[in-house]
Amino acid sequence: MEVFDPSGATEVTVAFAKRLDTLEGKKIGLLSNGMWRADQALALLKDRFQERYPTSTLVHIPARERIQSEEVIEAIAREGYDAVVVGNAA
Amino acid sequence: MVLGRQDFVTVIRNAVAGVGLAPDIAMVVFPIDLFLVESDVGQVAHEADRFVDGLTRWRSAQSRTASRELPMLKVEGSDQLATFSEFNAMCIRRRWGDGLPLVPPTEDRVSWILRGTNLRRDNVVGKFMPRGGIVTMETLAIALAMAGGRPEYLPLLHAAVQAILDPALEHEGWQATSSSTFPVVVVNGPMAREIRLNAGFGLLGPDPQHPAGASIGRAIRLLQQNVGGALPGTGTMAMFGAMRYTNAVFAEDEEGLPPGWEPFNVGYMGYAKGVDSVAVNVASGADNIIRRGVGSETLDFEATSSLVRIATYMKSHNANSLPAHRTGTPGILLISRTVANQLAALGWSKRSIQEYLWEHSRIARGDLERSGMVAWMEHRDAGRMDEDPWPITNAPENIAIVVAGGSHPTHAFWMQTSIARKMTGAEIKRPAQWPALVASGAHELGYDAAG
Repeated sequence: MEVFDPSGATEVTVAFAKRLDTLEGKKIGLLSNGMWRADQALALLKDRFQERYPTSTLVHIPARERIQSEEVIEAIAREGYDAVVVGNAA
Repeated sequence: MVLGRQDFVTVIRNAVAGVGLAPDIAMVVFPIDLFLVESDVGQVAHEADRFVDGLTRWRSAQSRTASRELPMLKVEGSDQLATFSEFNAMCIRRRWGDGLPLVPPTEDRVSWILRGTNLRRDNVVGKFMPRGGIVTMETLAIALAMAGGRPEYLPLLHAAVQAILDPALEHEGWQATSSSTFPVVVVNGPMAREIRLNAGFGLLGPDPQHPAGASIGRAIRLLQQNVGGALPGTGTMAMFGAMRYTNAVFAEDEEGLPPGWEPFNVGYMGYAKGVDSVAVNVASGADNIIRRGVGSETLDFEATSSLVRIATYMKSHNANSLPAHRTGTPGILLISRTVANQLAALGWSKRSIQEYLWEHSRIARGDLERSGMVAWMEHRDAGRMDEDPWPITNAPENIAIVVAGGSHPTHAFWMQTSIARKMTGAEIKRPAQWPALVASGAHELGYDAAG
């Protein structure tokens, strides 16, 4: 017999953003959902990035659980970040 | 790019796939131990190079937008039974089932189920997150076929999935959470009786006399997993599982409502009387509460003491009901028609019951501090933070009370909310051929179509 695949079609509609050539001079957001010590981990990463790339601007964004909300996404777009590290998916 | 935990890799891939990206985002993951209280989280900074790679050198394996349609699959066996067995073995290998036998979704079977709608089979209902699988009427019919359902169940399944995919229910969260959650679908309107959906004894199943709820609920579970990506341990991190193979799909006992009590979909969800509708919440627990006395009490004392007893079950330090604090319900309370009418005869209204439960389920601030709940309440923006004792929900009218269950006075049933911010609903639309579908179901299953 022939049967349907139950998993549903999927579609890729958006390409990933282009990677940066360097972090020097870039504005990088560290977006935290406040879970699983994301604030602490991203704060340490921010310090390490800053040591290594002194001309970059690093901003900790404490979005808490509304990390995927329209307000947060619009704010990130408005602030002109070159890249964002999101955490913690745990 | 993403900072995450090793066990969450598929959850992360599902999440990005659900928003239309390819499922291979740049990520740096660590074992969960790193993120536990008082562990050394400094290793994250030591791995800074991997983050830099993710921001500069990483490349997606898929560089162009694309759509993935699904071919039919051939299943072979020496005879019908062997083919059926091979189909089920394939479902296990492909992680499509729930571990119990499934009905093969052949073209004939799916077309039969699709008699339950006048919509085109490629009509899009939405995307089931977090994986973002596209749900069409055909997808619903496939799931319902596999679950052992019938065409007259399809309109209700359609409405339930519409309510689940409603952005207000935020299903992408509870689909992947480490909490053990299951959708609860409360049905109102005359259709419930026509498809013999249970409102009485055994309404949460299992019950061979009322198969509708089980197959609709099981179809929802298959959609959650196969289309939405909620596979235990990789797509969903539910620590103890989703609990119910068939979720919870049942009807309110509208015939048993006391005089003056509105159906749940009217009073709580705002539908017009007589409308067929579903109301969906997400639960993570189920408590049977023995509410009656031993027989030597007065009726008045039994009524109030039973409400106090119910309130003690509601009075829990449930951080997962906090998202619902302002606009949702802390849970769904089921009371039988016997209990509802007893209370009504003593002068209780649904509103006075809600108010009594609201007051008697308050929790002292000191207890909330000792259990660490206060930090959660701030994190999840609960209301009335300055009140002591603190109410488990922002307003008494938030408490969802549904009249359902066997016509006995002995128990009430409490299903506490998990994560869902507020209940969502959808109207159930009947296809033009509805009377014929109902008659056919009644004939084949051996019951009177009038119920």
